[in-house]
Amino acid sequence: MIPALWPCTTPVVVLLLFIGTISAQNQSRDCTGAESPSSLQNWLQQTRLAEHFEFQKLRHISTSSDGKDDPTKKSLQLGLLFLTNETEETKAVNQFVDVLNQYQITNGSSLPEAIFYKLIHACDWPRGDALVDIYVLEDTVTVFLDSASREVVIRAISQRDTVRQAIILALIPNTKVTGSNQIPLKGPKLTDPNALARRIERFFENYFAEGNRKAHLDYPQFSLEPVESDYVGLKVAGVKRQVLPSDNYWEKITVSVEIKSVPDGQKLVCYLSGKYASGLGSRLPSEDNYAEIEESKLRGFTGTILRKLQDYIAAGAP
Amino acid sequence: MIESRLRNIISIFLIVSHAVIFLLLILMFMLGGLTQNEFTTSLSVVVPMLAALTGLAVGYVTSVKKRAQMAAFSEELSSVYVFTTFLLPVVFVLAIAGLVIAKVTNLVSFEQFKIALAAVETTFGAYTGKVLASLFDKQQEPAK
Repeated sequence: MIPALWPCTTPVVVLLLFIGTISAQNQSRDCTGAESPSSLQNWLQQTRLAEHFEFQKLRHISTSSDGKDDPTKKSLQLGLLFLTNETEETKAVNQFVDVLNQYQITNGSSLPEAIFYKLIHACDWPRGDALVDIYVLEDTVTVFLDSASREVVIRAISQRDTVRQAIILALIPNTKVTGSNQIPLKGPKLTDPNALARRIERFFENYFAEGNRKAHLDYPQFSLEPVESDYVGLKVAGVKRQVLPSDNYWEKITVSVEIKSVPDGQKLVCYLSGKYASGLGSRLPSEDNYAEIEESKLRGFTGTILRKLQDYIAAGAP
Repeated sequence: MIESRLRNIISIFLIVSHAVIFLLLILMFMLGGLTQNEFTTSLSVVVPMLAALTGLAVGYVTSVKKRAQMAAFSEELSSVYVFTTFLLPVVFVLAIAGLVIAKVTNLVSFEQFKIALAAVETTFGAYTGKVLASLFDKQQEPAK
């Protein structure tokens, strides 16, 4: 019976596998292709933000310079729709502000910043050329990096009756909240504004390199963003058992650390994203093999590594 | 080589291979060579591929429960038949094991692994099934 069925079942198996392959091959490496939107949508689901926000679009837009569109320079725009039952603009905006403040109280970090950094991590995009638009009925709230202050800011614009005017959101000030992804800085303030950023960068390099040395793995692959006085960004690949200590998977971690001024000094705010893939030996997996690490596991790792970073800086380690 | 001897060797080879490939997948999963999704997908693809062949072997083994049945008269086989009957199952099983190793060491991605499995199945599976059917798919003659 089995041999008789064989010629029939074989083409079916091949066809099923072939269909799976075609759909996988259609996943473009382009950020606006299938992979990044689904990564962002999964993150919204995991963090339960999908209860409040609906993914609308992810696209490249031309950047204006001197009032003219510059076709050579593209910005990345994420569009999210705020889900509300309200029909009145003011009530909808107030509901939106409540959601932002509630997130900040619960998680100890700013929701617009969390979305902004998730976008640049998922798309591997420079933070100066990315923006998040959140649509609250007819108003648009834009989250972007302000080139003057070098901080991620929120600008809310009302478009009601086709008159564009800025509106002020009653948000809890970022500096008043301390969550698991942020730590106050101890020790004397450094005179060189870039010295702290370089020290943070060195900490992460040493931390991951030491982890690999102990695990008898090759030196990790680092991709460092240019040092800014108030920001450190880096990607590390070729590490194991960092975020997922019980699994022997390859991990790829993207780190963004903002250095913020607060009334009693400075604090570090860290945003982490991570992916994992299986594999034995020294060969790293191809990009399409990686899957997103769960948000809850990333949060635990963020808290741990920040405490170590705080000790490293307080100890004045070189 | 006589037919009963060839049947015995091939059936033992197939049953052992089936178990080894199954255990290899479990071991690779436990060592981190496969994620949970990759492991379950691999099992669902690989095990049925082998199970069809192993089913023939197990069917034969259960039919020769008694020593006398095993030692029943059997005819000498042509060398080309023996060669083909050895070659196809061995290549088939080695190809599957090789692909599993290639996947866990990241020589191929998981998508490539699945395509390659389909190619192996298409190239060798049907022929192997046909050859083995000719070897096993006969009623055993009662012992004299």
